[in-house]
Amino acid sequence: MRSGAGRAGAVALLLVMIAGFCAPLLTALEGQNPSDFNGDLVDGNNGGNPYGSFGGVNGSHWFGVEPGTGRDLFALVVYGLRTTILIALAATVVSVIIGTAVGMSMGYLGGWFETVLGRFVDFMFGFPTLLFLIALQLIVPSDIPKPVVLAVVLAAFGWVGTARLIHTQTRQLAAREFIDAARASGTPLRRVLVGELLPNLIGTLAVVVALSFPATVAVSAGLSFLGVGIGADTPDLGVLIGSSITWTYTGADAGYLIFPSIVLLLIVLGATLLGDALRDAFDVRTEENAR
Amino acid sequence: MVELGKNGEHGGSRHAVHTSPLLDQQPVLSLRDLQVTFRGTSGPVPAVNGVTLEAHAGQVVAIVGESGSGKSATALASMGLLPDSATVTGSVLVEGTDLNAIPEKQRVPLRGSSIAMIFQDALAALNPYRTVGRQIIDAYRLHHDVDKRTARERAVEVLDRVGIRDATRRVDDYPHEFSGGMRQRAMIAMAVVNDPTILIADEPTTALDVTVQRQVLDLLTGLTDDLGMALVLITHDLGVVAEVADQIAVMYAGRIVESGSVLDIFDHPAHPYTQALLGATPNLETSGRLAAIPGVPASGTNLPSGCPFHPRCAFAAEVGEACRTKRPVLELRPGTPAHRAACHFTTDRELPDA
Amino acid sequence: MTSYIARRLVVSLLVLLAISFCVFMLFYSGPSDPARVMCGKPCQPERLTQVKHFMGTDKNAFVQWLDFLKGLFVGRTYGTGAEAAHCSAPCFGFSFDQRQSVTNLIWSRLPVTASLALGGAAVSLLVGMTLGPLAAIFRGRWPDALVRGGSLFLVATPAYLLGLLGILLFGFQLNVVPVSGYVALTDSPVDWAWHLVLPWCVIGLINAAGYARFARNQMLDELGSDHLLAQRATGAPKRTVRRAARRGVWVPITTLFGLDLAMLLSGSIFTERVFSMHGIGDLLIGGVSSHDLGIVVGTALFGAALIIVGNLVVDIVQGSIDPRVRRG
Ligand SMILES: Nc1ncnc2c1ncn2[C@@H]1O[C@H](COP(=O)(O)OP(=O)(O)O)[C@@H](O)[C@H]1O
Ligand code: SF4
Ligand SMILES: [Mg+2]
Repeated sequence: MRSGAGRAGAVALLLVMIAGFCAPLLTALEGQNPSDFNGDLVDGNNGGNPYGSFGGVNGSHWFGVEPGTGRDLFALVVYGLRTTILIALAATVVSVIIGTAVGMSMGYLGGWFETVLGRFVDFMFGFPTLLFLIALQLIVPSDIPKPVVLAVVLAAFGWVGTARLIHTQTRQLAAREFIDAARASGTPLRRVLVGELLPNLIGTLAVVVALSFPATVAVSAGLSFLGVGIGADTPDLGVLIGSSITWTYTGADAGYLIFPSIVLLLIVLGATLLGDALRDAFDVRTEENAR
Repeated sequence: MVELGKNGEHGGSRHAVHTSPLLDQQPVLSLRDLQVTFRGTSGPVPAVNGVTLEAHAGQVVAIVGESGSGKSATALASMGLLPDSATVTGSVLVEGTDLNAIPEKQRVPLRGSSIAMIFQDALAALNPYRTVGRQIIDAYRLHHDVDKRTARERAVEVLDRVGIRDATRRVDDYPHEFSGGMRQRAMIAMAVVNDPTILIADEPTTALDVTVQRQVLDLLTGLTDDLGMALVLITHDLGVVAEVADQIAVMYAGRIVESGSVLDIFDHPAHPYTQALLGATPNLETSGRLAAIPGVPASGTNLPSGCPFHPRCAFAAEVGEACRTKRPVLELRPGTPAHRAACHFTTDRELPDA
Repeated sequence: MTSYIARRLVVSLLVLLAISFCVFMLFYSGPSDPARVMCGKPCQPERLTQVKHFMGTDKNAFVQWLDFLKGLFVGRTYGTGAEAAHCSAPCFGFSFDQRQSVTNLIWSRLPVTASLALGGAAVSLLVGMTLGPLAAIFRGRWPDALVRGGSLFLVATPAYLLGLLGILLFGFQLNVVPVSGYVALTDSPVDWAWHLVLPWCVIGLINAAGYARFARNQMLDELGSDHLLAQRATGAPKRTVRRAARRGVWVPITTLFGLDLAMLLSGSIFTERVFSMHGIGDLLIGGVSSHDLGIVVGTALFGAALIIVGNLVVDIVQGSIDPRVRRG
């Protein structure tokens, strides 16, 4: 039953990812694009609300149109999906690599290195990261593309959880005999790390990736939602959801809020279900079920 | 309520005092054909398979067997404390009442006052968030309608009896502030504070070092004498029981394979497993383990046909097919009052000396 | 115990010092000079020099950091003469945009964020500590499946999505609770609570998911523990033992709570936005949009200080409820 949920999560995640990567293809199929303004589809006398039910859903506008501008919502969602996924994917990959490197070297080298870094990691774990993610937006030079900035800062703060987990696992593994044996037989340190430890950490890494990806998606979209991530001109799920609030308050049709929300929910839920199933399968103890 | 004596000396052999079991009295604890089966993820796991055992007041009955032989399951079944995943059949007669036949509600008041238990790991068995005194007081007040002050006095008294020095002060300590041996004593105090008729001690000395082991054993036998309770002493170590037990039951794969008095078991073992255990018995003084028994212990999920011991038995070849096909039953040895063994080889002969 | 607290206090102060140092090096030596923003466009060079001097950004980042620290303890005055602006201790900086000390700004926003975070914390602990142990007691049966499934869902769901869905459902469809705005506790306690019901539930439920999962596993450990078995062996009924088990879950929960303070704060940032409440998160975001470095640095450091002090309190509380924590 639990792996059934995991499988469902994997399928949902896969579908959404494919939709994101095939954004141009899908919008071509629909016959729309995310940048065309369609003033004729919104009712200027009614605060710019789309004509028609469900925010203007019909055969040529699958998710309806954006209030005010009349841009095609389906196109905005799939292009936004692509932005969100790419940023989160890049940030996850980088942060997992950093976290793995830090965690492995801590667990393997030990000594003061482990102590000092351990303190730092512990400290970062309870740190109000979001505040600084927001604050940092102010000082990054404006000539660097926003998606890159976002991916970099997310990675810079995202590696901590991975480092903690990999550290614990490495220490357990290193305590086992075969690592000692490899060292005794004169294999160089680097070879031991890469050749013996890494394969044993594969399961853990799969879990870490599957669980930190949705978290990164949520934060990345969250920053854009708050208006301090991607600029409003780039299609992004967070931006869409953020700008939908105002419309929701003015009583516009909920479609503008619901379509991007459901897609975002599909990514995070899908990946979390998958990650949870992987965690059970690989028997990895993450923070909250470890303590 | 039996008055607790002051902390006295309880060294030496008990056999001088209890040369014969008090057979004229009714046993205070009587297990009859006890069976325990756990619901495992891949089918039922039989842990205890028809154990019959009696314990009389003032008597020490030892249950001996390798780890996994079903000793703890027997103990917990006797207390009615097995998890819901276990099915228990047979009867557990505590002073005539079958614990296994009455609902949990009626068992609760019997625990602690009629039948009590102590565990191997005292640090784990004591609540880390409560003082030692508080835990003893709580236990006492479950069975005695007294105010906190009276209960506290009683706690100090019991702590003193089990040999905690400066008990008036230590009563307010937390378990982690006690040493290993003291924790064991505190746990014993918690178990005997209500003067139980029966005390089950599940490997009470396994986690301790040799000198402390000796002290704890002396304490337990002393309490048995003072309180007139029956002590069921569970251990995987025959050496531990040599000087303290009156009766011994040897368990293998959930069954009793041999039982009898200490002399029966030590001087005339009638089961190859018992003999092997004797060979593997470390000496209390030297604590050196001699020879381990070769082979893998049988378990509920991996139960050999016939005699469960046959894959490890040195005599199986001599007996032949019977050992592999026919399960030997526990039979009274001729010419003895209570020496029983379950072995095809020894039904009509003695075991040769090891 | 006192020396334990003293030691933790010193460590916390050092950490705060280090954070503020890093922040100043990072934010005040970058290329984006806040004076340029203040100066406006077009900006004459002599005007820029004036503004820089007024704001104190003509000094290097390290000196500015020292000025900031000094301001924290004795307050500081920007500029001289008629234009002078005073910022009294503890001075978290000055917003030249709004001509107000950041401390005042934070102070005026604090009730909102505090109401959100504390109420959310209460809901999350209540829900998590009720459902988690319940799931453990019913392990493998439907209440367990429900709690586990529900918490998995909530752990994954971003706070802003849950908030928006809550507004859609309870605010617009069912029309039972107000969906935006904050009413001060001192104005009307009833309206205050009424406006906070939905936000509390959002923050509370999101965080409760973690507590429920954790409390469930912890409760399972407790229920399987020797000390509860030993307690039952003394004749304690199941109910008494379960109560003891629940108490055993509270101690490690406080550790988790300490770690979650930061999450609580971020939860309230999103919730402020969703429910149009003007708390500290809103202040920070406003500072970013208006390029007000004083506000941004001040609120970020204030937030960090809040979390560190919160963790200190949690540590001390834990030291007093868990007898095993070393009292050096
Ligand atoms: N809770 C349980 N669930 C399933 N099997 C169990 C459980 N407890 C014990 N067993 C099994 O029952 C058998 C006897 O265990 P136990 O009574 O603990 O042995 P002993 O105390 O002699 O070491 C073992 O095979 C063990 O695996
Ligand atoms: S019955 Fe056979 S196998 Fe079993 S103990 Fe006796 S001789 Fe050995
Ligand atoms: Mg055992």
